[in-house]
Amino acid sequence: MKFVPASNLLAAGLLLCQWASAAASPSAWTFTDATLQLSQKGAEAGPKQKFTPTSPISDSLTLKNTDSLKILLTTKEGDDAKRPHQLFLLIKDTESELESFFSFDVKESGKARLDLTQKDIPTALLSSQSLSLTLALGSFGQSKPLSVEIATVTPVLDAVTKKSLPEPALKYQKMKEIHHIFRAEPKSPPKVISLVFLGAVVACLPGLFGAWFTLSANVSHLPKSLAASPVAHPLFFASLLAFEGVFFAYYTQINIFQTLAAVAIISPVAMLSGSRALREVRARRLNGER
Amino acid sequence: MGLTLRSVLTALVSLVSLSQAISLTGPRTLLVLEEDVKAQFQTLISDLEARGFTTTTHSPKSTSLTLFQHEKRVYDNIILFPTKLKGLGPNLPSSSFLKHATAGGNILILLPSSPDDSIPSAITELASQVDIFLPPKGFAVVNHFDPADAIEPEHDTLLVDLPSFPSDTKNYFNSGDDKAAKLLYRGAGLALGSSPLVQPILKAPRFAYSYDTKESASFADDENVFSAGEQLVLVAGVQTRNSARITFVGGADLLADKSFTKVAKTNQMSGNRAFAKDVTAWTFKETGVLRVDGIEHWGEEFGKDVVNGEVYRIKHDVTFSIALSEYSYDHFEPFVAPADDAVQLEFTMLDPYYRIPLPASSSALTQHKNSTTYSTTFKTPDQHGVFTFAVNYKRPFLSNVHEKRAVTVRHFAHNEWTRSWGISGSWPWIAGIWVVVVGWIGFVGLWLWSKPVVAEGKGKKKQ
Repeated sequence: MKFVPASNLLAAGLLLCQWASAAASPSAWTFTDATLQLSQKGAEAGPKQKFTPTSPISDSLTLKNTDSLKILLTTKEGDDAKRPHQLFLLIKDTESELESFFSFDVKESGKARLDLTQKDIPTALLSSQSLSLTLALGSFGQSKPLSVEIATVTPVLDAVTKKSLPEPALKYQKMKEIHHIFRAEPKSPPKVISLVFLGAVVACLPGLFGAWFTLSANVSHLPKSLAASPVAHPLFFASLLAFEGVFFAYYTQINIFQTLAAVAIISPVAMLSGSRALREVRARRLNGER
Repeated sequence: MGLTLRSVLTALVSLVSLSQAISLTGPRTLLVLEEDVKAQFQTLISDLEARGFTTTTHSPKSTSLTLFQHEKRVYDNIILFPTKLKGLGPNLPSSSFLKHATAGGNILILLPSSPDDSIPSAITELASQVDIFLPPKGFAVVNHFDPADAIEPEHDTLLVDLPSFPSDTKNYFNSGDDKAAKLLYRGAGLALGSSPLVQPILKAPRFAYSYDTKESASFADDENVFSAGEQLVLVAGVQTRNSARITFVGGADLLADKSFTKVAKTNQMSGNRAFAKDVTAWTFKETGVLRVDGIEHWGEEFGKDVVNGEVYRIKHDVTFSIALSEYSYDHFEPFVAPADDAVQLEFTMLDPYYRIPLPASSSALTQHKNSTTYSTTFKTPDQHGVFTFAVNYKRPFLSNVHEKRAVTVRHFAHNEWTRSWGISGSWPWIAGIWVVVVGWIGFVGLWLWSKPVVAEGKGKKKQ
């Protein structure tokens, strides 16, 4: 006698139990001779894949737009082939939980057939990554109904179908956030470059004065001028400095009206003192001191 | 003694306030039914009356019935009970219901549970106008997988779980104490269009289907199945754009006295009575009504000194707050948005520049204590013009909130720009100006006071 593994015995026992309980209760709906066949348009039909209530088709199927899916089975109430009231194939998008149903074509004898192409599947489901196919089988009376997942299908869409998928309908819900993207702030060149040129510009000033003094510029006549016109010369020079001061104030804080008022006050001073000061300069020139 | 008297008084006061609990639309309720139908809905009607609704009964064929008088609504709420009659009377065309809803009135429509009863064409018409589709006469929903009574072979009374909704939707339909209670349902069901105004309240179980009892008694083939699974809706609510509500109940037995019993299968009380309360409360605006209690916005420029000012500057922080409360039977309470939902603020000029969530804020708008303040701070975009703060909060089962506040967003004033010395690229140019200024002043001094040295060696130059 051959040795039978314990697990096999156990499985057989369980099956027996199941069968026994099924027989004891009124009865239950089930199906046999179930096959699923994928065939391509114009090509030879694919292999028939068998499935039962306990063993679904394990490998994932793909459904192209030229493919058609054919499911054949025979429904049974208990052991008798019989037509149930409900024999649906439920197709569910595993992500969105959306589900649609297809009714089988069933004869009195319980022989059922369903042909399904991609066209038949509602567009809301077509964009899904994976569709699970569930068989629902039930009828009036006491017999236990049956629902069993038989396969998973991935719809493969061609470009045209993809384009023709409708936009999802408007739903009242939270909408996508929008955040304003600001324009880039204006940029300055690297500070080093600015500083180098700043240095070059500022260096011009000692250069200029240096050049003047090497060309024998001096302020030796200052005491003489001050002696000749002690008010006009300082006032004139001071008014010129004041003008620059006003311009600096305008640059930093005061407005145009304040600037004009200040200029209006300084201008006559500069005019009068300037004419006196220049008169003194002319006197020196006429004296041959310039 | 005094204590008991006081407690009696408080009880009385609370009773009075309870009986005054009324819908926001109003208490005047019209029951369109024939006397023999009324007996089936005693509890529903008395529950409504206990909540403060005043009912007026009219037969569908009544000639004295009018929904409008002097162009004013006569009733706030209408309940259309199933009728044996083929059609409603001449005073109840489908347009009168739409007019009623346009005027802000609510309608609850109970469709017959028995496949032998027909639905008046005015109701079918109204349904199709609000994107709800009713099966023709003779359809019934069955569920072989979970019948209410295992012994009855018809399977046409369904056991349905209380409604549950995604986490971003408020559930107004399971306020009963027993959350696991089952609903007893018998009827034909509805199919919904894709309008966002229509919401399924109660969906059929996964394996249920609605089929033609006459044509396909032996087998449910494709042509004779109306709808199935969760696509098949048993109770649907419509909220019009003016927040009036129209509810369709696919089987009137759901709200009838005979369903307010124990469920044979579970030996527990059915959830129908509590569900009937929830459905009527929602339809007649005792729940799910939002109120805007206040809106405040203020900017970085003036702070809270200028609230709801008209002008903001670009690139300034602006804070926007809105206080929302929600009606619940007899009082307003703070509105708490569902966990996965968000009240959103849009800052719009033609297109939204911002659409940002308004989180609930702990600092309430001072004058409105009994509401939730939703608040956020954002930086105005770098674009001047007339902008609008818009809160467009439309959600299933909640009355619409659409608030807009237009404000001007101005450009920088001339003294708000960065000063030239703040821009490193301008330093050489600014230095250039001051070098010229100093050079010129120096030149003037030298010109005024320089003593010619050349003359000493070569003799004085004569002019």
